[in-house]
Amino acid sequence: MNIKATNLHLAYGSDAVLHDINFEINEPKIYGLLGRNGAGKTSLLSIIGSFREATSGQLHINGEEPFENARIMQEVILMYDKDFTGETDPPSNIIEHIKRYRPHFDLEYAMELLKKFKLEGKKPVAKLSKGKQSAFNVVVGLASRSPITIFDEVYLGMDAPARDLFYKELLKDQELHPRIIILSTHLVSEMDYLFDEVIIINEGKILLQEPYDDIVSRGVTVVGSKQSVDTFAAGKEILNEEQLGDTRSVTIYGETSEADRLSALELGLTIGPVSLQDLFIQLTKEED
Amino acid sequence: MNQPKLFPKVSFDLFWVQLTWTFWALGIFLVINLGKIILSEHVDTFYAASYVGANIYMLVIGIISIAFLTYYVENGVTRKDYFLGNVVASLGLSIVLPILAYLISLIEKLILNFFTHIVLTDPKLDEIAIDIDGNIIGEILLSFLLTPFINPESNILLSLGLFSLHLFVFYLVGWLIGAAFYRLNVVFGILFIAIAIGIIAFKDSMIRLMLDIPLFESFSTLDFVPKGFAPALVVVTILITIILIRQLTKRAAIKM
Repeated sequence: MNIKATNLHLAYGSDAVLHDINFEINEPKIYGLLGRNGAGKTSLLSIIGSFREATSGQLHINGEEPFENARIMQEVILMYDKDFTGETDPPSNIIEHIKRYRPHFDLEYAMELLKKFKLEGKKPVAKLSKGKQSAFNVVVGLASRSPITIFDEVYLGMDAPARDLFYKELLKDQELHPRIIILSTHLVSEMDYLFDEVIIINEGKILLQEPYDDIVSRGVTVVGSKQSVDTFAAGKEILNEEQLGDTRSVTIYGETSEADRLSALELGLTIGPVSLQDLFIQLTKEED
Repeated sequence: MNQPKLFPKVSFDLFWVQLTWTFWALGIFLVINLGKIILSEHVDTFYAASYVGANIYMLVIGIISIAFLTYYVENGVTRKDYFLGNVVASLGLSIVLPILAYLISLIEKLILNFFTHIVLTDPKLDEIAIDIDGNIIGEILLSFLLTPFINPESNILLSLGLFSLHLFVFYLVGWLIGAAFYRLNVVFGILFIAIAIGIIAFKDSMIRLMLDIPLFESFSTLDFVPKGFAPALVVVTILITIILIRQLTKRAAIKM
């Protein structure tokens, strides 16, 4: 499968939420879509999921417009924090019904997941707790095995053990059935290890799209005495600084050369990788 | 590659789920009807009694049916397949409901005749509406409640057909109102309620012309329509309603 956005633009009335979005996704990998609240994550995903049309520009999936395209729409699933008010059926019944419309749905796997997330009872979904409802969304998303599977912050309502179970299941199932999985989130530090590739969206624009390893090698964290760190960091782009007593930690943006590493060693500094969270915060920081 | 055609599956599923709701509704109508038989002397047949209730029931489930749009798009079904599926399902439901009501009515009559002396009546609903002539609100309300009725014993097919026609139009206007509120805003939603009332009043007036029943005074200007044109105008009204629903849902954004 391939997703390609060309000059994608979306406005709600006069309020533009996506500006000139261009990106391409080709491989069955896990993509992290990061953005602050209101950055346009959900709007972008809702166009991919055929929930709405773009105002202008194009979004193509396998070279075709997905909106009202029966073949493409069957292959794409967008799970979000859904309102289940009035849903009188228990999870197991709903799943059997969804299976009728999802060509790759694995009912056995779905039942197994319902058990793992403790959703196998006969309680109507509307009466389940928020966390359980989120877990149910996760089950549907995983078991549908759609070639394009999107989770738009569905995991926010789940507690830490449930989220952990989701991450494990996601990695396990992705290995057996590779597909394009897009996870939108702002729980960056918790989920960064899941991402093969990261797309950061800010104020309706794509800020960057890079493999996870490349992004985290875009910077380093340097820890040591205040003076040594300042000497080392002089003239470099500093993303973040922290200080405790005489110990200073600085996150530096940009490639570090071999010479830099040597001089750090001479200054007695410790060099570590930069966290995606730090990069994300710095890159999407509002100008004062 | 050909596009998969999902609407037959959608039709079947939507017909089935709404039919299960209908069993519940008919059950409730039956309880009320039986209650009346115990409590009073002059009671309508189940068929005649469900005539009024079923219209309102269809209006309500028509309004709710817009929720299926979200459900199907979320499950990768196009708005078009949802639309076609629900047109077929609602038409099927409109045909089946009168037959069920008639069968229940027959069984009820048989049992009552066998065990009691209670006689049920099939009233002519149009005869009740005489004393409020000229009051437009009253007449609109009555056109909702007292759709033209034909006694099944005089012409069973015409009676069932007319029952189905009313149910189908009530469902469609409910769906139209639901779609307008979903796609547009409250102001337009209310505007579409007015359009829906107009559709019902117009359809009823046309049927009154066809059946030689006098028109309500407020709609008497419609009597210039030749009797032979009335059926065609009913069909056109239904088609316009269906087209409006499609236009409202065709490109509707799903609310998240």
